[in-house]
Amino acid sequence: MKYKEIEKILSNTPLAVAIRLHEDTFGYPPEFGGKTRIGDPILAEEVHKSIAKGEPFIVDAPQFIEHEDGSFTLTAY
Amino acid sequence: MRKCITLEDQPGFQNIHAPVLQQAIDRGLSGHSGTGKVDWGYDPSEVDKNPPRIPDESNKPRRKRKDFARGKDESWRANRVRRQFFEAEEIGNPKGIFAQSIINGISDKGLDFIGRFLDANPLNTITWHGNKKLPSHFSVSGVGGKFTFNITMKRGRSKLVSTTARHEFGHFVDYVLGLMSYKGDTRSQALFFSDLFPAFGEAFQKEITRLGLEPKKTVKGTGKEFLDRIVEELVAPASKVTRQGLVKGDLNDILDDASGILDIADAMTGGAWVSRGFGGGHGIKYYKLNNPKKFGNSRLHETFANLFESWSSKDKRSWKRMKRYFPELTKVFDEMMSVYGDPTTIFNSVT
Repeated sequence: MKYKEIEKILSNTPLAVAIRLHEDTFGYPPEFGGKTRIGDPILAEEVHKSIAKGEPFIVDAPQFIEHEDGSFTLTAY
Repeated sequence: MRKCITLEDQPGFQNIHAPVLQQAIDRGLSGHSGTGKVDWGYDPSEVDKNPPRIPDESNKPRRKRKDFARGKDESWRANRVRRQFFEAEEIGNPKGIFAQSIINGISDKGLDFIGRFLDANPLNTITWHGNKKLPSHFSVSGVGGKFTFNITMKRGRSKLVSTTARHEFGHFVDYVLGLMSYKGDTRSQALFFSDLFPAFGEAFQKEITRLGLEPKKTVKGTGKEFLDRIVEELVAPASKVTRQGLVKGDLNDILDDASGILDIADAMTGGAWVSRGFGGGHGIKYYKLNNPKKFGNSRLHETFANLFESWSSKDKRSWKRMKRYFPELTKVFDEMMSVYGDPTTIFNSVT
C-alpha cells in the first residue's frame, strides 16, 4: 500500500481530526508537551474540549528549571 | 479426674459457630453422659451448615503476603526488580503497579540490567495521574550533588503503560549513566549520557546523513521519503488487516509498535513526523535546540529512551526492526550495553 492511501486512513483517526480542527480554529496545531500516540482518541477528546471552550490546547512542558535556591528540576518526556 | 472449665472464658469462644459447638456437645454427651441429646431450642439441621471463616486471632506467626512476594513462575530477576520498586514511594495507584508494568513487557537481559542498576541507584518516587492532558515523564531534582529521581505515569491500558514505563526508565538510565561516567566534573547538571558520550551523537548524525534527513526549508518537508517508507512498511500491513477485519479493533496496538521508530525519526528531523498531524512523536517545539551544551540535546535524549525501550523489550522483533532502520545507532547502543548490560558489571551509586 502506498503512503497516500495510508495517509487517508491516518487522517481519519480521532487525533488527526482534532489536530486539523485546532489548526482551522486557531491557525496553529496543539502543543502536547510530551510523546503522543498516533490517532490517540483520549487526547483527541481533550483537544475537542479545549476547542469548545475557545482555548488553544497548549501543554507547557519545561525541560530544565533552575530554582532560586540553587536546586534544579530536569524533565524528559 | 475431670477438670471443669467455663466455655465462655475460653479464647475464641465468641467466634465459634453455634451449630458446630452444639454438635460437638451432643457428640460428647452421647459418649459420656448418656442422653446424647440436648434441647437447644431450635433445629440444628435448619441452620447454615457451613461455618463462617473466622479470623485467626491467636499469636501464631503467619506469613504475610507482601506486594513483592514472588508470583507463580516469576523469575528471581523479576522478583528482585519488584522488590526494588517496592522501596520507592508510589502515589496514585496501588503499590507495585509500576513494577508489574515493567515486568510485563521486559526481556530477561532487561530485567538483569534494571536489577543491577536499581541496586546502586534506587528510584525515589513513582506518581500516577489520571490527567488526560499531561504526558508521562521522568524527572530529577537535585541540589548540592544530591538527587531525587521520579517517574510520573499517565494511567492507561496495560500494554501501552508497559512500553511507556520502559521509555521513562530509559531516560532515568540515560541521566544516571551520565552522572556515573562524568561524576565530579563541572558539567551542567542538565546533561544526559547521550549528550556526553561522543560516539552516540556521532552515530545519530551519521544516520541523519545516511537517511537523507538533513533540514530542508520546512520541518514538514524534511525526511519525506524516509518517513513515507516507514509508514508504508510498518503501518500499511496493520491498516490492511484491520480493514479486512482480520484484526479486531486495535489498530493502535500495532501503530504503537512503530511509534519508537517514528519518534526517533521525529527527533532526527526536528519534528517532521508530528508536523504531519496524526499524533505520535514529540513535536517541533520539544526538539528546538536551545543551548544544547548547557541544557542538553532533547533529540539525543529521546533517541536513547526509545532505543532502551526497544532493547529491553520482551518482543525480540522490536530490536530487530530498530537495527534495520538505524544500524549505526543500534551498533553504538549495543556497544554501550556490552559494558553495562554485562551481568557481572556492578553500577556505582551517584547519590
